[in-house]
Amino acid sequence: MSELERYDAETSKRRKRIKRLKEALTGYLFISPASLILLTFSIFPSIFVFYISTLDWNMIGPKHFVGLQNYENLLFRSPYAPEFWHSVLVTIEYVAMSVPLQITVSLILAVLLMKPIRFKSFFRLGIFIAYVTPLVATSIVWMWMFEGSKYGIINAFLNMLHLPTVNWLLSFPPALIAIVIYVSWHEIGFDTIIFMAGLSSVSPELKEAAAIDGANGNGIFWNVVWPLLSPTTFFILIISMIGAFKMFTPVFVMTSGGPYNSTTTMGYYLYVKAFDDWQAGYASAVAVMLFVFIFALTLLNMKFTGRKVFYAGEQNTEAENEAA
Amino acid sequence: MKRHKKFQWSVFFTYLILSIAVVIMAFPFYWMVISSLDKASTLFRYPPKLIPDFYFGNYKQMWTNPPFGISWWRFIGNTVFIATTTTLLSVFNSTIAGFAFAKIRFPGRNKIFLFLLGLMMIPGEMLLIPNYVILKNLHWLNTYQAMIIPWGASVFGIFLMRQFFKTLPNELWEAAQVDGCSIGRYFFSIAVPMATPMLLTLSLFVFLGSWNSFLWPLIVARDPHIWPLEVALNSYLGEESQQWGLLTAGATMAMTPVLILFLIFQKQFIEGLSRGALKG
Repeated sequence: MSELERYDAETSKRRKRIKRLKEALTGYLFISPASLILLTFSIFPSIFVFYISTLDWNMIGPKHFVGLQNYENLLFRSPYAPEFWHSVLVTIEYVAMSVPLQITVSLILAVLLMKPIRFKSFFRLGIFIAYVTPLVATSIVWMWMFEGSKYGIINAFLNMLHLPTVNWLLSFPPALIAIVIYVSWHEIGFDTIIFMAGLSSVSPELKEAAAIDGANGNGIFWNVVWPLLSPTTFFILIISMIGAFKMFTPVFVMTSGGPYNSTTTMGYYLYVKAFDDWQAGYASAVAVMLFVFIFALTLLNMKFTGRKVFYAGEQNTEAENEAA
Repeated sequence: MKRHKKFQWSVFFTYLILSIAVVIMAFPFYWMVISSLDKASTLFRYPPKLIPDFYFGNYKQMWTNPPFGISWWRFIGNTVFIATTTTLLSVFNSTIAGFAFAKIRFPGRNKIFLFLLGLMMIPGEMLLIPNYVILKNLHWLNTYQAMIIPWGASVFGIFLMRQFFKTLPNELWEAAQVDGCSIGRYFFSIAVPMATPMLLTLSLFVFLGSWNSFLWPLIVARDPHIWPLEVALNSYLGEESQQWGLLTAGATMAMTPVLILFLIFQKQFIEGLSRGALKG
């Protein structure tokens, strides 16, 4: 090899290396703004919260390290433990009422919307639009609808049916039921859209095959569509449960946690402890518990939706590419 | 013959149930608007009146008597400003990061991306207290940036944009390189224009999310002058409690821009949502 040829080969190698380095630098440059923000406001605080949860601190005065005292308080010690477990109980009651209601109604609506009907986009819009509305504004409207006298429209309706009127937001359990109704109204459009997406991924060939084998409409739904839909159903189930643990604004606006704390869910309890009582340490321990619950639900979700792979071939390859 | 008739019944019930659903879902909007157009004397009436008085006094009184005597224009301006800047920042950051994770080769790329994906499991509520402390130490409490910067990057947005950029064929980039195009120029003049529909969808999500946010501004903005509309409306509820004519007028005002925006872009929004769900 001549001197010149070797020289050429080396420069082209060096050029390639410089090009690679330049590309890598561009890459780091492109991800740096997002990474910086996420580092400051997501990654660091999710470690920091564990540290704060070991303090007795009002966010202004001096910090006192108390170890796991806050966790002991919320799990076992009066007066904290009864409050905390009560908020867990309220959250569970809320989930038990709202999740089955939302899933049943939105599944029925999604199945009907998937039929070849006219005015489909009109119906879809009408069902979905509540989901995009701001919570405080719509909470105000529903407070007026839930007005406790017979002048509230819901009570007026009950009165017309000769049913007793209810002091919705000021009695237990109607206050929690009112919140369930309001939140379901707000969320059902979202669940319906997700169910429709799930239903559209069920292949029509399978349904046709079942029909040829003599299955009727009901049989096709329960034996073909429903099992294939289970990842979607599970996804909505988990999303709604996570939403229930975090739910704050409707309670804050409509009931302030009352009456007698009967609507104090975990999300609202966390807010009160942190930003009304300024017990940063204790509230951080509540936040960590909230995280534990939501993390467990997320893991369940991931474990289950991993089975999507088993059901739908096309998504499978994509999921694998993601993992690689 | 009998079969045919049965089929008709099922169609009838489909329309019936969907119509009832739409009526129930839309009724609160109707009730809000007619209550806001009623005189206080007709509001509390039994049986309820379903046709309004078309009385605009509530709007007048609501508009001239805002919370803390600060103009509603100010609250609307605050909301528009916060939502717009958050959207621009978040979409820009998500787009460049999504592109980098999809198309640019650099060491540790996949590891960093997987790590960021893991962040999606952390509920924002857990970060309220530490973020409050961080903002306090930055002396950012009671500032606009406190309501903008922390929302200026989202893992979901990065994920969405990465998914899109991955679908661009590599040949495109190779051909551009042959023509002497740098990766920065390729990104801005070829990749981003192709991503316009995706960018629009992402912008809608971020904008609506920011417009509707409540808990975070409630905590970090104690000064009413920088309040967004939702927080101001909550304060208005405290000031005018039980004045349902005024309150529904305020709610109508706060909701109208969102509804208009949504009606214009509903197709992108709903399709973006179902696409996200299928992929997620």
